[in-house]
Amino acid sequence: MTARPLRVAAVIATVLAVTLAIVAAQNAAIATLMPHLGRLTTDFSPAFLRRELDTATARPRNVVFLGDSVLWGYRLPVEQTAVSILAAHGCVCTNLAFKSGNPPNDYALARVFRARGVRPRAVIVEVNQKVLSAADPEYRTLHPAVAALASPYLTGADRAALDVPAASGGLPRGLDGALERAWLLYAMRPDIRAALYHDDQGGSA
Amino acid sequence: MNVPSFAFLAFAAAVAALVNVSAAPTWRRAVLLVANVAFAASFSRDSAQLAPFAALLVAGFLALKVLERDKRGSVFVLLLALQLVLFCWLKRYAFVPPALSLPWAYVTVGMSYVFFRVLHLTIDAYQDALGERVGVVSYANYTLNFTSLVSGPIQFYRDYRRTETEAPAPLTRSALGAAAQRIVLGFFKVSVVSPVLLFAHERSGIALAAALFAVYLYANFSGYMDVVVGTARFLRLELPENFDRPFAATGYAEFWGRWHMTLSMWFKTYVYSPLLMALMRRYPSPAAEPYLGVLAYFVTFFFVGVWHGQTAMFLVFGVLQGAGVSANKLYQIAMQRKLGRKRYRALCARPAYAALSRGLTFAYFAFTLLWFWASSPQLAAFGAALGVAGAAAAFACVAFAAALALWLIEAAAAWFARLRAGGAPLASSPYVVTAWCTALVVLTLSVTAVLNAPAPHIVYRAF
Repeated sequence: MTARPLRVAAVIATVLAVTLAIVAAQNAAIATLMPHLGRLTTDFSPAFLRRELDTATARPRNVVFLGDSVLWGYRLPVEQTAVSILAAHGCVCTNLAFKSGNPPNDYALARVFRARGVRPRAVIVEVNQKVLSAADPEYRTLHPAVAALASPYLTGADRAALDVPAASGGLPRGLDGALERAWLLYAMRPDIRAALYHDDQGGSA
Repeated sequence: MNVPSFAFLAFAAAVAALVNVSAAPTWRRAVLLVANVAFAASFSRDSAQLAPFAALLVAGFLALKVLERDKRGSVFVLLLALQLVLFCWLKRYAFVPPALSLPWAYVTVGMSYVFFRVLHLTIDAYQDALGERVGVVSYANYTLNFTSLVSGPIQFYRDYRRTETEAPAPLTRSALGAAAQRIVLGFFKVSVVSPVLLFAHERSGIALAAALFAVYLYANFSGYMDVVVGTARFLRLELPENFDRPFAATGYAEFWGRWHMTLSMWFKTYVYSPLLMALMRRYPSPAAEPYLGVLAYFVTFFFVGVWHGQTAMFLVFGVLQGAGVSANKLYQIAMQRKLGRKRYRALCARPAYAALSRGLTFAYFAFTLLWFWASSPQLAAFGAALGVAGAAAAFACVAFAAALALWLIEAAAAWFARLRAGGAPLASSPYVVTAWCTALVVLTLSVTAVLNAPAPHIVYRAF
């Protein structure tokens, strides 16, 4: 082998080594330092939801709350939400409500609970009467992160009844999926952004 | 089109590919003309929004053509005044009554930088300093050069023209590598360092916020410069540098010789030198000469400061810039008188004195920038909260911390430059350069993914 191909191979190896080292360092830093925010972020990612579910699974006698912006705490700082107040009184609870949450999302989450072995002591479901309006199809729509996690566990009938959003984004689906699996910063980017800019404080719709 | 952005890089790559198809000057000029016009037109699809910008360019070209034929002083003054009025009117300066402004929104991106080029051509045409008649294609390519349209640098026509007439330097592998490295570093500064510093600045107390904003401004503007200088090299154009390690300056006059250098050079050429000559003719005394220089510096850097904005706040900013440079010059004169030139030079060479001077220079610049980024109520609140003693203490803290930080950075850079691998400096090893650039790219992509922002905002784009 001549010197030039050797040098090109060494340069490629340098690029790969540096990239892998930085991604591994970022993954470790995010896994360790990314705070638990007390509730889901507005545009929470599947990775963030998965992490919250893992936390809920690990807690014994946990109570899970499902619902929409009312329970999520719209326009309230996280420590003033109903779930946080209960937690302050000793309740071991996880707030999985989110803005525009609805019974179809609760149903899809229940399927994920079963599949992933989440066994809470109780699940409290808050149902906003607005979801009973047949005129608004928005209440059939799954949150993209919930859809991403629940998709393998939904039946054909579920899919026919629910509005499951297609994966969106600028990157091809395969590349996007590969990046999400390998690179935690990429997978949790909306949640990191929300944590940095305190978008999780309930100030915006 | 934003600069820097991935769209800009793609556009520049396409233009570079076309420009390098042939080395014939006519081909290169034609491709650049189309690219420059297309880039300028990318800021709006509505011709009415581009019309004022075009009017400024046409007025400049007509003035140039008139002055190539008629060199009367009165004609020159009239044309200069007309261009100044046109520029202030189009830029909607605060002193222009709003009722006189054009009643629609229009493109002003890069107008200041184009204006400097047009004014330079006008003055040099009057002084017969251009050496040739300027053709319409050269004029358009020079004033609208897409690599420097948005925020400079302000290149002199002679230097630009050289790249049109002389055979371009060959694009070797090392030249391409250096240019690509520059682009990567620029993107990192703009996309990673700038937002991180801005984030910290917005969440800091006054003293730290002032210091962080100065560094943020440097990262933001010098990052833009790195991208456009690197991009221009692919087009075989040589753009002048705008920065030369400005925070290494040990005095405020030196600082302005290292920060936004092309702007300082423009003002030195067309304000400082003529003003000093006029003052020396008016007061022909050798004893007064240094003080006339101080006065000329004050006026020059007052205008440099005022140029940065359209409101009254920038008058104060201008006064502070002028005062900083002229006070620095006065101090140098006084010290040279007291110690003599040789002893003063020896004092300046002492590491502790130099470090302290760097810290003071940085702190002064950072605190004058308060009039750049803070609003009047914010300034009033800062004043009320700190008081004179608090402000002095904050200034001293920033100066001392900056002196220490800059000394540490310099020591670290010197240590790294001494490291060697296989007999050669480690910093020039292709593997170290590759690792460094890869790290910058991965970090840039990381921050871009998290921020999800379209293209970074360049502060100097607004001027």
